[in-house]
Amino acid sequence: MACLKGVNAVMLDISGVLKDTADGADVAIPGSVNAVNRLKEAGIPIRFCTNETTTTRKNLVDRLQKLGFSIKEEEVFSPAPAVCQVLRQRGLRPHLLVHPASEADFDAVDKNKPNCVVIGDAAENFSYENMNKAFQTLIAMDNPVLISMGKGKYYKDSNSLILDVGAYMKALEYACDIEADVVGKPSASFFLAVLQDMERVPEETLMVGDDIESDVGGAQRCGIRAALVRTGKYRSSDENHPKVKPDIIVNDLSQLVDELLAAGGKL
Amino acid sequence: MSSGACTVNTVLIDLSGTIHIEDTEIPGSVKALERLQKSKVNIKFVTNTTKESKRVLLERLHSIGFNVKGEEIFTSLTAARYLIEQRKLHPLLMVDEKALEDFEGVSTENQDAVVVGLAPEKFDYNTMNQAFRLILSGAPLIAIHKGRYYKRKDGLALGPGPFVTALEFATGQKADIVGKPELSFFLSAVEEFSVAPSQCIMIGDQSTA
Repeated sequence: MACLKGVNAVMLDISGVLKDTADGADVAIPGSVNAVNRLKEAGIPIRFCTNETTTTRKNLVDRLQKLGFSIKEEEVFSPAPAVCQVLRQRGLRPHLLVHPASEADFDAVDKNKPNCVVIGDAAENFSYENMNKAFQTLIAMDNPVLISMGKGKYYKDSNSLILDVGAYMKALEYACDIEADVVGKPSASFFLAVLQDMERVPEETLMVGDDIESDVGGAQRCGIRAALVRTGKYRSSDENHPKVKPDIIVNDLSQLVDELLAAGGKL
Repeated sequence: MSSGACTVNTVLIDLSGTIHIEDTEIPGSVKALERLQKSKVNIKFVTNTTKESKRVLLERLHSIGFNVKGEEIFTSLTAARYLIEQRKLHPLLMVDEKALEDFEGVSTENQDAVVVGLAPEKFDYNTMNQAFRLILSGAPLIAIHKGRYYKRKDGLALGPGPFVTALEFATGQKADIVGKPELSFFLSAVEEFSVAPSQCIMIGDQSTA
């Protein structure tokens, strides 16, 4: 396919591209374990770009390895390590509204006398009282700083769609009349950090995801081509999105790799 | 008085801050109301409430000494109910327990709409997800109002607005807001009188609402 010509590096979303979640357990999407292997055998560098914040990066990698994926921790880019870097650079001490299983990613961070709020996909922890604590922390600041790990609208869990961090980020933005700093997809700095790590330019890179806005839209704004897969949270209406048009739409990762290798994807 | 003002035959009156503050009359308003009632103009009390049912409001007004009837009160909850009945909807009611009595008799089986008021105990993760999925599958989102926050004993607390905004963002659907200052609120409040808006006057204490 012409639209894949010259692609020699790939960024892969994890949830909805490599695996789904059913009743709390991970399930590999058919063909995806092999698809990753085929990319690696072809010598195409891969980075895994996820907005996953309901677990630590290490735990996520362990779970994917158990499913049979060839994946190493240093190949995974997730928002929490990026946030920790931002906190250090800006001298910020967070009040955390995050999933209990992801708190370990922030162990080394000073959380006394918070001067910002960090929000992730807290799932069950998105109670009214927890939202209120985050709100009260923000509204008490002269200049409220809200850092959001991604801004996804929803995702798929056990065959039903559920609210993602973006919805709760918007709630706090509206309550305090502020705008959050988004770390993770779709922010350009996140994609650019991944490119830098791969030593690639946008024009030779492809992002593969199931989120039309965070994955496809975010990558395209950086000049990175983007493929939408019809797995995970995909809905047919995504193909008629008013603003975002994927460079290619495929049934799943396996088909994408077929097309990419057929297009002569390098080497 | 100019001739224009003489054509007014319908008076809309705000409650809190206009004729009373909590359990205290604003001086002279009981008398003023009696004079209005004698003058045979149409009267409707209009208020944005998300917690207090009509019955609770009425009890308070009576105890202060106001002579007001239930059918003279039109609240944002009345407006929401009006909209639900007009469109034959079966709503998921994210409203305070105390406000539920204003929705008595409304069917909530096979839900096909979401109504959001000020209801901290309904803004939990599971109910929010339930609301989200209903709206995503086409159910209208009806907001009593979009207040950002309100005052609670322990400080400021989130109002319905942030949660309505969360649902709007996740679904790409705009909420219908039913309270003041929405046009539909005022039109519904005076509908039974069959009068033109130019024959109505609103008396309130807030210039924007």
